[in-house]
Amino acid sequence: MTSRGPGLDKRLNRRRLLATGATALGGAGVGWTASAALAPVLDPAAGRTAGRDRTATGDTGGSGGSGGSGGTASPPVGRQLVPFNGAHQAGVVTTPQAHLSLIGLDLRPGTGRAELVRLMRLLSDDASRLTSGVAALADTEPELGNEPASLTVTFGFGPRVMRELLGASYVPALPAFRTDRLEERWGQTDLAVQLCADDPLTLAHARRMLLKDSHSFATVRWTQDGFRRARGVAEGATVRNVMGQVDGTGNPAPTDADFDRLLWSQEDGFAGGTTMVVRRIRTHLDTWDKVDRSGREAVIGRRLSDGAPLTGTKESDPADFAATDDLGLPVIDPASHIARAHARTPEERFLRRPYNYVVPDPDQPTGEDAGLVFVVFAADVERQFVPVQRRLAESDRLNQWVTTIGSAVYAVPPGAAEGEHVGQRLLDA
Amino acid sequence: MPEPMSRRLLPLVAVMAVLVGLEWLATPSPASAHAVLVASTPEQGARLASAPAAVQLTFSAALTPPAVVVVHGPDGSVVATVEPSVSGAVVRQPLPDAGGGTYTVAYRVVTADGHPVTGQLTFSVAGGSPGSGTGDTATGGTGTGGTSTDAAPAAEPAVRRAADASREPVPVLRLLLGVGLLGLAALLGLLARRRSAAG
Repeated sequence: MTSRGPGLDKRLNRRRLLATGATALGGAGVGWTASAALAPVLDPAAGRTAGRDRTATGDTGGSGGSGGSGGTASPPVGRQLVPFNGAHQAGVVTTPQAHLSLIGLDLRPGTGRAELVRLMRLLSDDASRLTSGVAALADTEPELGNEPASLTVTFGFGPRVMRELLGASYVPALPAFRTDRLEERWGQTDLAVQLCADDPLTLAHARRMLLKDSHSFATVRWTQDGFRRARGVAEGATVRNVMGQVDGTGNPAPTDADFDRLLWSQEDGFAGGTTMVVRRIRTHLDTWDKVDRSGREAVIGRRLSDGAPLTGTKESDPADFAATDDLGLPVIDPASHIARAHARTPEERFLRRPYNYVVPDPDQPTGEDAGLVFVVFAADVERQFVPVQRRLAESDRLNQWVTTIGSAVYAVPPGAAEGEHVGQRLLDA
Repeated sequence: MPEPMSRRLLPLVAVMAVLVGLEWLATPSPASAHAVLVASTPEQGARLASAPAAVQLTFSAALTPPAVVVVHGPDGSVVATVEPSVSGAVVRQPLPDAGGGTYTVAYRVVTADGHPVTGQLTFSVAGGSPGSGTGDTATGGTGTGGTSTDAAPAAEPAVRRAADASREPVPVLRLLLGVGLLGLAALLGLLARRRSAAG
């Protein structure tokens, strides 16, 4: 026992306590910092950020401008036009523009055939003007119509309208799929108006004009806005989705021999029309974050860097689902997305024209609701699209990270001739 | 005589440090959360009297079905089988009798975080000509890839040989720091004892 006295003893003991405590916690601090700083070295997956692989493949072959670029110098992007009139409605085969606004409208009670004709006349007239770079009728902001930026407006009729107002024999339908978690707020509506353009202001203006036209006839159930790449960014390359994947490889191309047959209806009175499926697919990016790069590639069956199938070297290589590795295991997982989605017959092919969506949503773990406005065009949805979607609902590794929350199908009438409104032949019949 | 504060609190500080160290070691990085094969029936390298009715593979984590299993029989060709079943962390592959010799069972499973885990299991069934199949009864498979099986007759568990498709590195730094911290804590504890005893 020393004779220092109790006060001195206490001070010394406290100092010792502080010193050891500081050492212990200081050691921990050093460790945490070093561990975190070196995480990218230790865990390769953690170090990769979204920005690293922004290489455009250029492989898919540029599909050219959206129109108006016939000469040696194309007009500036804002002045490019897509013709409104023709055998088919624009906005189907048109090279996807940068922005989408897809409106789902429900006709007000009491809206009959005659009212629908009036509505389609108003809409078609304004759409025809706006897509030619001319202001709408009684346009409150006419200058906003000066830059059409490849605006297209595509109209679709839902099954109820086809059946009850048009008495059509051809009524498209979609069954329920086991993996769907559909919400009425994103559900089937009477009409769909798909606006696409390379400029968001042009798009907003066109949407505003058309909503004014439709206000007394219909209410808006939903607006699904979406985006792809801005003009001038990765042009010619297959677009990527919010999950970072190359999305849309193997789409039927106008140069394919069976393209017209896959796309355009041959139905009596509907020849030149098509069917549009709109499915809102939410992605679960918070759990997707836990999937490392090799896991992500195995889920899809394609490389992330360039969209090549795991059995190939470039995006355009057809996938070889029979190829095996040195253990005899199939290189492409039979439950991967492309293995399940690929066409089993030549008929199971359709045009995919998807747009990414991201909206703020405090209910989502990430604070955002992100996914795909998945738009499909096919001559016969039941023969072409449904078998594929059914197969995906049965089994698709991707299902763990995506949920379809909205689904709707529309008959897209043939194009309007000059002076006609869209759907005229159907409504006149 | 009241215990000096240091005597009471230093051990607590040491325990705190130990706990921090243990937490580190326990914190999983995405890499270390991936599954490995922990058990199989038959065991890797087993020599059986007759062909088993099924092969069962148990992994260290829950799996997302389906699993892919490819069986090569004694003659080296693929044995046609029904789809394997997946339940929790267990894969069960029914096996038809393809005679005596070496069987190779290649598998790829996917864990809940989407990560594929690949590996291979070999075992032999009595009967058939010696050296039938693609090689020794002791080495199975096609002789390539990182899943080379051990020739030792003492059936080594396949867990050490299962090839992890991504070959994630061990969190070495975390390990060293954790061990270092534990050592430091122990040292402090010892020093504290010595000081108090001397004082």
